[in-house]
Amino acid sequence: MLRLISGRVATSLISLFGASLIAFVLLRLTPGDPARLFLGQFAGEDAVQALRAELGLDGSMFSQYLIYMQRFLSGDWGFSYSTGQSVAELLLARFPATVELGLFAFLFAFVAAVSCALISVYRRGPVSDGGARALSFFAQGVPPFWFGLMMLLVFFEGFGWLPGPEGRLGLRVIPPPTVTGLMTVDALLAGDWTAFKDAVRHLILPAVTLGLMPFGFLYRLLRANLEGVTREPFITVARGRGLTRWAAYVRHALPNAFLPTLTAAGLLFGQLLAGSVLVERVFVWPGAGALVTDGVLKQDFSVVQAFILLSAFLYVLTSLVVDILAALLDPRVAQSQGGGR
Amino acid sequence: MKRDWGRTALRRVWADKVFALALLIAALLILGPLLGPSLWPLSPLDMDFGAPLAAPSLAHPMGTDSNGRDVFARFLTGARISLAVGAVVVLAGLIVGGTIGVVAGLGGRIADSILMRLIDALAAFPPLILAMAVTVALGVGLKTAAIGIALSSVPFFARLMRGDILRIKTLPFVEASVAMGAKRSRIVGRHLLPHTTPTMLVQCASVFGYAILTLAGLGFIGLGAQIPEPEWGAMITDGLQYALTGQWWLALFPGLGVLLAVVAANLLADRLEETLNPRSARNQVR
Amino acid sequence: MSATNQPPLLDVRGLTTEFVTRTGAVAAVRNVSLSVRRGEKVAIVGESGCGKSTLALSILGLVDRPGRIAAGEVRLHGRNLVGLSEREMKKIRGNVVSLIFQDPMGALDPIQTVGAQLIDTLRRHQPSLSHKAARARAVELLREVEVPAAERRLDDYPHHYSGGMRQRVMIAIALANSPALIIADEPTTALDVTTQAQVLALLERVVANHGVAVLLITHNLGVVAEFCDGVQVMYAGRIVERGPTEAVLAKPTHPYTQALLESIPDPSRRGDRLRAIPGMPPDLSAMPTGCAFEPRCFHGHGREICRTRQPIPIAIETAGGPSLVECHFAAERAARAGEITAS
Repeated sequence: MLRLISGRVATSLISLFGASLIAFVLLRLTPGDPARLFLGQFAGEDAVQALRAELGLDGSMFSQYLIYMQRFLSGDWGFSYSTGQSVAELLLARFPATVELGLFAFLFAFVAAVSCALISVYRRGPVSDGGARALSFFAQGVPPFWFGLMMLLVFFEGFGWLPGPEGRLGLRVIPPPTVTGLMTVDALLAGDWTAFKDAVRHLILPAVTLGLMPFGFLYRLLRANLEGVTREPFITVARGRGLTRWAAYVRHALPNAFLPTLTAAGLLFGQLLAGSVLVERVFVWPGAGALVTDGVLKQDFSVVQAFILLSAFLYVLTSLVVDILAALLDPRVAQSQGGGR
Repeated sequence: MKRDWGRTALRRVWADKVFALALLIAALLILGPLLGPSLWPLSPLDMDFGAPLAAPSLAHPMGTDSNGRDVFARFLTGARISLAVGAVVVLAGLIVGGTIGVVAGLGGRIADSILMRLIDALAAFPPLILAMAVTVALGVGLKTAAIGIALSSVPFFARLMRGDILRIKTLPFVEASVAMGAKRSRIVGRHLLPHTTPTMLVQCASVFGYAILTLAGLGFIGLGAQIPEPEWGAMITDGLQYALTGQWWLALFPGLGVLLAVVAANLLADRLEETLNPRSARNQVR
Repeated sequence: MSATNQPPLLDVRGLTTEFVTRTGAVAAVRNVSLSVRRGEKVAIVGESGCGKSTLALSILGLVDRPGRIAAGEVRLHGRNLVGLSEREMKKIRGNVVSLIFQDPMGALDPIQTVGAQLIDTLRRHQPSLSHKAARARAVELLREVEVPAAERRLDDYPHHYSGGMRQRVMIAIALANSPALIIADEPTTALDVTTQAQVLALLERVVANHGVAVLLITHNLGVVAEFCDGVQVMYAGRIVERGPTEAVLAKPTHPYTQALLESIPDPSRRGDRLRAIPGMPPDLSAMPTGCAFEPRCFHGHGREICRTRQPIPIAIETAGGPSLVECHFAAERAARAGEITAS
């Protein structure tokens, strides 16, 4: 087990090293002098040179990479060219909103995928089969930002059931005091029922929009696995022991089908991360993704570049954690490496 | 018994219908943009200041935008852009990724581990974010967006190709021709590559859909084609500000275009997988 | 076999199970009738693909779409099980009737401990049993099937068990709720020969101790001879010959049974060539109109009646009791077999 984990950690570190090299090369390729961009076109040449020296831009490529990585790892991700604020502060301030949205989107994707997969495999009819397939194709083919807009057109413009693109809370709702940064949790901690309900109502459309693609992905994967597992003899045996078919599916088929999908959860996380960049803007969601889109619009790429390397770190880290988790949860893997017979 | 018969029939028709539908969408999306601009009198860039933000009508089936440009003409040109980028990405990804995969699969342990670490590094980014990074670095625009998307598709092709090569390499008929002393280039050309065709075809179709979807995403956040270029994603951005004030047609149609194109590509990939790789795990389903 | 006038425990009548495919319905089990009395051990033998396993699953109502029971009854204690809901069936499965499955490697959920699956079986049918009591009972059961260090091994996962040990666990699970009938589908086929003998001996012992009836499904005639009171020979979905084990094995009346017996090595016929049955079992979706065995039959081959008419069961008197044979020439063959043994 330990060998498995350390091997997995090592490969993750290697890919992160490669990823940081790629990010660095791309950063160097970016047109324009970062010092000039930061100081603006009216600053004197001396000031620019001084900043270049300070940023380590006049050294060799190798030393530049070292400085770049050292700065990144110590949380110094540069400054926004347009506002002069620290990128790390900007991103961190926006992070809770993105995390909350991502959690709800994941919750939606997970619950929807598991129930759709279970029901369509359980019923085995051409209608439920076709319907679920069509839904998954739609979920994986629809541009999320466009889908969000259409949802707004229907549920906000059309029926007026759900709030429009106004961020995390309605204008007239007083936000609860910040503890975790997650609006729903903070509202509950403050015992503010009105704010909680409002926060949830504001989360529904963005979360469904962001979760749609992961749903389609997870559903297809889970369904294929379930189809395989339900043919295993142990499902028949479980029913022979006195479980109904449904109980055998839920208690035995689902866990066995779910375990291998865990290793794909990293991909899911990547979809959520990239999706937040596309979706937050539509709902004026004050998260890190919207910050990135704003940066692109204002040609202020320092935020974008920091986000790129950061997302690689988060992506690789998630895959690593999930892989280890999957190995720990699967008794065949967990015990085959050490302590097994 | 009769009812079960009906169900089986329904299943077959449904399956065939889906395939037919995918082909139809594909045909429309290819023929429309090819013939469209010569048949449709309006240009995607001509402005009609007399009719800005006109709702869909006979003269403008998809309405007009804020500058009075015909959305249908823009839609057709947008389809052309998406298809072209999709094709370029698939070709570039297949050639670069495929070559990496073949070399890694055949080149021995050192070449394999170096190339695969490179692929791991590329795959350490969520694909859209890698495409975004490349576009930012090379300067915002349609071409750089295409390069970025192509690069982000390289790992898909490389990993699949390597896996396929490693699998085929050990098949008896290949080992037999190695034992008979056939030339390496002949083995690769005659035995290995032809047997990767099914997997690669499926992958091409699905990457085609991925490319169109990602291009629209990059266009939407302003990293792809720039306004007024009629790229679908950028058109949706343009429509964003008008959608909630009543001018829904600006965003609706380009989004539908992306949806249809991607779904058609994915359906095609799915059906190709079923016909070409009938024993793959995915097909045990039916 | 003594209590002939007792009503049968299991009474299957005219059971037909078919699978709906794209090209039409294919019957894997055709008009099968059989009965098992309390404590009786009955075998179903036949080649793989003859429908034995489907028959076993049909009795328990475990055939899923696209398969379905098209006709017939499965009476347990006189109550028809065909058409009962899953909720009704779950009270019977693992409780009154248990199943031992052919593939011990795949028959246990790989990500649950053996104990969890055993305890679950117990508590599902005995809800009043506390977890602790169920655990104690589970250990007892494992001891009974001779799993060494039962207490400790209860918390092991199936992959820690060898094939033979897993099959012992399966027997323990089948016995858990003291069933009246165990359906054992090829219980020893996947095991190596020594383990086969051990597991079979164990099964014989526990079955005798508990007085459980067994419906044994196998292709191994040696197992049948050793273990079973009655035997049913199945070919292409039908039972072509049935009767007391000794009578059927010593004097097979149906040509298929005879061919089957001649195809196994027998030390007493040392030096003789083994006779394989020529040809293949018929394609179930394109069955011959007459006798299903006709194309491979050495006796009736080419005869008009065999090709055109499905034989009806003919009763034959044997030393051990009555036998039923689905062959046009059953009476003639039985008489001749008698002559051969007489002379």
